[in-house]
Amino acid sequence: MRISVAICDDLEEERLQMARLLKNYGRRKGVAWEIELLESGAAFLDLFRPGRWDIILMDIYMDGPDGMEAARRLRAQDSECALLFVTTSVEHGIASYELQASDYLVKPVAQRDLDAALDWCLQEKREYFRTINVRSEWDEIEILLRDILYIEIRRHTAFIHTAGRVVQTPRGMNALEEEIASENFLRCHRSFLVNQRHILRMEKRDFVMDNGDLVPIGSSDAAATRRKFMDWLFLRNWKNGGAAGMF
Amino acid sequence: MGKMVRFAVYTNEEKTAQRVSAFLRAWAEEICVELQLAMESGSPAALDADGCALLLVDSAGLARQDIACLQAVRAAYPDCGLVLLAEDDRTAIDVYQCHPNALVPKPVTYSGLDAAMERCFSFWQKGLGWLDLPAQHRRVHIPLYQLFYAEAAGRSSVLYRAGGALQVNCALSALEESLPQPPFLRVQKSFVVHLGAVRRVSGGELIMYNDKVISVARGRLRQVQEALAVYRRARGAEEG
Repeated sequence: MRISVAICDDLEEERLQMARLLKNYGRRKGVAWEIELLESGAAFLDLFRPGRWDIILMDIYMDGPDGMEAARRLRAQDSECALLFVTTSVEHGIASYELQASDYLVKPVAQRDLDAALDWCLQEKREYFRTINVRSEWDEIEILLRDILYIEIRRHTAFIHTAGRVVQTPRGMNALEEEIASENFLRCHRSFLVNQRHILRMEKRDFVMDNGDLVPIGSSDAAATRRKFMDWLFLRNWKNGGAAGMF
Repeated sequence: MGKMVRFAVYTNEEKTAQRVSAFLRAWAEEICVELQLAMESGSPAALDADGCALLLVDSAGLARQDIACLQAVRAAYPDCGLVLLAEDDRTAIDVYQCHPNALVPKPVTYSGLDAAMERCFSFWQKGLGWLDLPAQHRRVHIPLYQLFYAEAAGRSSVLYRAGGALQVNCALSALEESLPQPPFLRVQKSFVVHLGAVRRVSGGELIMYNDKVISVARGRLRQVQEALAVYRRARGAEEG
């Protein structure tokens, strides 16, 4: 799996230096990066869409929207990517916590400082980066858990539905459910395991997925399934700040 | 109410201890969380995170060994959240090494603490109080804090919350008994309100968050005004 990283800094030398430090870390730890270099907050915001980057290294002092403003706009749309400030500024420490930064590195950044920050990021976001490996015909395929919409079992074969494709693998539901063991996944039917992150809405007998597919809710456990989904939704809304500002 | 959750606060400043303690108790009351609060002083090296849902540590005077100690606590107690109190930006940057779940700027305000608690929801969620009541063809299961006010409807009650109204098969008097007071208060024979959902008081009427006007029983007006004043003082007065 490749982890996508944006380095946003108005100084080319700094961008290249951070990319070098990242590559050093990747070589030692066996992490493959996909690095994009961006020269301003405006360039960052032009290219940004939720899910585009897993980790963002953000300078603060830049022309146009500075790093704090760019991070604010980023967080308004994406609460999951890891954000690290890399800056000469020591004046934004308190504000950085409001933006859920994973770390705040003051330049010049030593390799060990970046290593420690990345170790923490990868550990903290381990669920976000989790994958499963499945055998499909002659290939071994690695699938990000967060990309799975739902899994359906038909005649001893698992059909793993992702946004772009359906992967078939000769696995049973219990074995897959045990391997995935994620709070985001819900066994809603004897033959279906659904990723709740991709549920658009719940109808009487089905979950409507964000690609329009319908995933059935087993009738024997329908009330418990609905309750589990509502509990998950409640927790997720809190984590994303959705329960804030009650009055 | 939910299960009791334990928070421990470490600070050597008496004023900070008082503010954090008062605001945390007010927050727990508003959000209907059963909270046990332990106030500690001395070095964080001696802190005890066993059984704690959340540690709140004042970063004033934290030495390098204290930071190492907090890192060790984070590793040993993954189910315990860490909130740091910091006075300035430099300290806030330094304490990133402890990977706190949230940071509260000093002097501590109610809104600052409330924002930190929101970030730490997963650590204290089991303390949340819930309503679980029968309704037509189903059960209503909502956290207590989401109930803004309830209105009597014969032998049933109508619950009002941000998402709309729900009718439950429970008389208002029985419902009232299951609600913590404060933050809930009976204001007349047909209404129980959450004090946080009251926008303002106008004469003998309450103007609610959704502009609904609820008249207060003449005999209860003084009690309601006093309860509201106490409720608001506990959250906002020190900030103003």
